[in-house]
Amino acid sequence: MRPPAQTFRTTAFLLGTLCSLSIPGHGHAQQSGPSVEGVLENSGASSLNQPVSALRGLQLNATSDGTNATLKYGNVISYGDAWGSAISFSATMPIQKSTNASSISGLAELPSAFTLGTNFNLIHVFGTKDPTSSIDRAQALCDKAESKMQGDKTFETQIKMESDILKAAGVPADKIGAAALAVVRGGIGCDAGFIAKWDPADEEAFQEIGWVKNSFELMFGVTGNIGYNDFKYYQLASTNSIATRRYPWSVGTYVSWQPPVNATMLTLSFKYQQAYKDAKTQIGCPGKTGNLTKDCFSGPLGTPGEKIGDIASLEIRHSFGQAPVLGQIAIDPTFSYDARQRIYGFNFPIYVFQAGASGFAGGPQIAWSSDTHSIVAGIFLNKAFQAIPGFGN
Amino acid sequence: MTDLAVKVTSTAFVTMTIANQKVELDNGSGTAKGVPSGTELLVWYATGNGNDAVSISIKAGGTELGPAIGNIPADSNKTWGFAHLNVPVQLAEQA
Repeated sequence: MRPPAQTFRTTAFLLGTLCSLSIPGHGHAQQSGPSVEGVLENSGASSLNQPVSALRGLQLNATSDGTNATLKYGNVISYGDAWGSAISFSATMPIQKSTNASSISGLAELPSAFTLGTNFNLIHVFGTKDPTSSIDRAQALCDKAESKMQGDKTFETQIKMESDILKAAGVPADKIGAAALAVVRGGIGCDAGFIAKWDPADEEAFQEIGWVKNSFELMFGVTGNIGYNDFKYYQLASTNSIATRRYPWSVGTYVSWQPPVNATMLTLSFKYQQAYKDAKTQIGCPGKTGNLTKDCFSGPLGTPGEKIGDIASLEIRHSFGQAPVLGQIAIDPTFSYDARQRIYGFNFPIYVFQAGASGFAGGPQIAWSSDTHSIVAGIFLNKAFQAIPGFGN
Repeated sequence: MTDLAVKVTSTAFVTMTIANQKVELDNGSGTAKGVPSGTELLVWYATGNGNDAVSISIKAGGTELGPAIGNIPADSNKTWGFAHLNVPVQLAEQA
């Protein structure tokens, strides 16, 4: 039995945020077989490739590991009755690095690769109930919580603190009292958050007026990408490279389930992908002048190879909650299998720090694939973790 | 009768009902059309995703009526809430 060729590399790489697209690598590949990075990128295993997200507006993301910038526009719609959808469109192109600065290729000339993508989510939250007929009961729970709030020893302190803030902000004196009360209460109405804060024993009873117990959320959607990718390759008879263009594309579908557990989501996805990669890099010397510089070439020998993938993946996102000082602790492992290439692998980022309530987050990340048996470890930086990326922003 | 402008931030999908009328929200904004003026309305909403606060603004004729309800318990990914909302007749006439 052949022992696995274990290698270990430490790579410092920064991950951009919410780049849901991947484009096949361009330029000269240095490996003849699929690389761990390639497999994971193509399988959507990276946290860059979360299919489920709910971006609103325009977003520009860039990866500093090398390679791509993505301009993305998204919108979300709530149809009522706990149905909603999110749709996004994106354009991805490589970043070309010069000696002094990086720039997005294509500003001065056409980029060597370009991908257009779209992603459509349909979401349904199961278990909402019309509380209208039980409003009196809900109001009674709210009144009880209100009473506990008024009697809480911290209440007056909070009111005074908020009043001072409002006064300093120039709010008219006759409106400060009501405004401070609204801030401390969290609004003028009543909701599960208010009950949980002031009378947590009644939170479950209140929630069950508006929700079926243990209800869950289900999302499903489709993705599609198409683009072009420029290659250069050599033939044995000449030292001159030949330029050619290929048109990679992919289609995918996924289903996500958020169980009745806070901050957890499981996504099962499948993607059919037709990509291209450089032929194996070789050195050839077709010339006969005796000058190695003029007679020889080093680069892909032959036209780019077609690489078809049938990729299934399972992503598990879970938050363990807030830790003192560090912030939110969370994991986002993805396990992938390419049935066509018969390669499997995983990508396992662990969020261990977060800058502020909604700032950047990051931590260690390891990835592995069965084709190379190599482990890639590094540090990643991403947006703050959310069970459903983009929601709650 | 008047129209109420609704703006919801901080969450994506919200079920909102104003005076028994379901409000469709496009990118967080929507309108409750032809609601009775000069009366007290029941407003309720539910959201089942995210773990952040929900901010809700309801306006008639540009005047904020509230309710600024919307707190998701720290140990949950869902919440629902309600408020009794008064729409003054003069505001309804402006809308």
